[in-house]
Amino acid sequence: MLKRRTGLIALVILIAFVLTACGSSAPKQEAAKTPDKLPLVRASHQPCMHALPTWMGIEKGWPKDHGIEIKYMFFPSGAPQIEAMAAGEWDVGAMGTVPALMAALRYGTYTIAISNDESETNDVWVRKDSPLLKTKGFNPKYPEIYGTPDDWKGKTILTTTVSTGHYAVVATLKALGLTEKDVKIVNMEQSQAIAAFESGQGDILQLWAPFDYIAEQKGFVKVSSGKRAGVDIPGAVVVRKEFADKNPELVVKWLDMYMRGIEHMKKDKADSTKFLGRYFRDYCGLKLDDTIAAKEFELRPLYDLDEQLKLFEKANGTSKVDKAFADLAQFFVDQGRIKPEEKDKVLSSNFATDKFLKMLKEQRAKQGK
Amino acid sequence: MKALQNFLRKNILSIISLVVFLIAWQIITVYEIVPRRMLVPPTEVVELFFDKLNNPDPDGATLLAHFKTSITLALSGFGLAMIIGVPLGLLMGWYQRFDNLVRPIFEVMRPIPPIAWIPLAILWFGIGLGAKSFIIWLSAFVPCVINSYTGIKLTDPVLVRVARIFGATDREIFFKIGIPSAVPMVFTGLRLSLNSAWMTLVAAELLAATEGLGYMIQMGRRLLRPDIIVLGMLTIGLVGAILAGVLGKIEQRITMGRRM
Repeated sequence: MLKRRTGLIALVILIAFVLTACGSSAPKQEAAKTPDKLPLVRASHQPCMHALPTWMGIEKGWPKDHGIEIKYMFFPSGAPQIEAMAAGEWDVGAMGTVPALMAALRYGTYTIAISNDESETNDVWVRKDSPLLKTKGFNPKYPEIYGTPDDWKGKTILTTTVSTGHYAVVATLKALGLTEKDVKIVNMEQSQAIAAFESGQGDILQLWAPFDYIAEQKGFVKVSSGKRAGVDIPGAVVVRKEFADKNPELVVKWLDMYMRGIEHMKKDKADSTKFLGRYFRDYCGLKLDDTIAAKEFELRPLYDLDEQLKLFEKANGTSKVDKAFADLAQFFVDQGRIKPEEKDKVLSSNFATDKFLKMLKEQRAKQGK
Repeated sequence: MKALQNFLRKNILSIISLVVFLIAWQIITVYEIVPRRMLVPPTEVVELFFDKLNNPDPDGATLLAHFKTSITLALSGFGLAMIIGVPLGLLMGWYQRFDNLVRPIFEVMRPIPPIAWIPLAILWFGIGLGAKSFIIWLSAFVPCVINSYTGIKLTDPVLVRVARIFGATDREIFFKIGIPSAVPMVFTGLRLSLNSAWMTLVAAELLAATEGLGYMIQMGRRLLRPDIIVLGMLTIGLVGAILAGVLGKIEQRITMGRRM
């Protein structure tokens, strides 16, 4: 009898412990603020150019000017970045269009600005001796794409699936009148794909920046890109829904600093190139020199506040940003990765919003900027 | 009926723990003690299981296709580990000179995590089955060697001396006394090895996969679908347990009356 009672008590304690432990992990820190300290904004970024406005801002001591403190958080790619966001670990960040769309669909995040245009740096590469290089502009509508449909047919393409790079590959195939069924798609992470391609595996390689600069250094040749295949791939500036709803003023303060970074990058390319080179080498551990950092500025258009507002401006109910996300969502529906109703749900949620850009515009106008 | 009663009597505690676990899981997800975005209820996983029997979306293949790819991969790595690891361990344990020759290399390679070999595996074996099998082989190989080695080292010296007295050659003693006495330990090694092979699946399928349970988990991650991740994990766990059970039964048959 005593044994049975002890067992029962132990079971109840165990369940209570599990429930308490799980429950305690749910709500995370929301804009921590102490009387002496400025409010904290946790910014998440990747080894990518779109991290520079925040990183450079911190290096230059800008956060204080904007009345915030920034905790810089680094993630190797979009998937772990979104997972950390779901656990409430960060508040604002920059990422590719795919994680931004997925995060909006699953977690209701907002896309509040465009970090840069990534259409040209989501690209497709071949080796120097590839037969694809014999023909350029087979389809006159896409004059910069190399190879004929016959050249591409049956080729093995190393690509990171469910990504903007994959989107660029499929757009390229479409431009040549082909589908994924005409080629063999092999899913690989970017760094592994370069190593495999270098060792003779696969015929075509899909990459994005900064990995594509490594490909260029190795002598591979670019045969297509999102831009060449006619698709828009904007980089997204994302905020966590709960944070944005509770602290819109903090979002605007951080966005002000982020936009200050972008505007500096547009105005003073030489200085920004040095910072980007340092970020790649010293912070991310990538072996990329300043020449490559400079290329980033050539290939990835940046948008200041007014240009951003234009991108979000709705003509006939749809903005350029809306269209880019709608096309991407359709790509995922065609791929069977999301259901049509999920596409409708995310697009009708208006997750891509210029609300914070407009607030910033107003704030700057008041400050006479 | 009696068999069922016997089974229930023997396994009642295991069944209760499983049921309590599932109920607790359902409660913490349905009442959002853990947010839905972090964990899905088991009922949704069961629903997805039935859907994935025929539906290749959204991760690119049906559950059966993922399973087939993974089992082929795991068994190829495990098979190779068994073919190479068991004889190697037995020879190392029996012949001192051979042990001196091989042990230093084995000891250096043993602690290297299989995932660290991925870049080299791509260079050596490409992106097909070879590289993935190699990664699995590495993880499955170590327990095979260690247990075979220990098993043969524990051969009763009295039996060896008796065999010598009756004029048996070293080779005869190795085959007729050493190996049979090592069998129980070899099987323990094989079970650990199969376990390692199955557990390394996700790491191996990080490498150029388009199907497989590890790939399915990766796609679930990219698509932010915890239900797909949990289904992949549970399938790996369940199949692993079944394989271990099957190997246990084979072991029982072969070692019947041998274990002390």
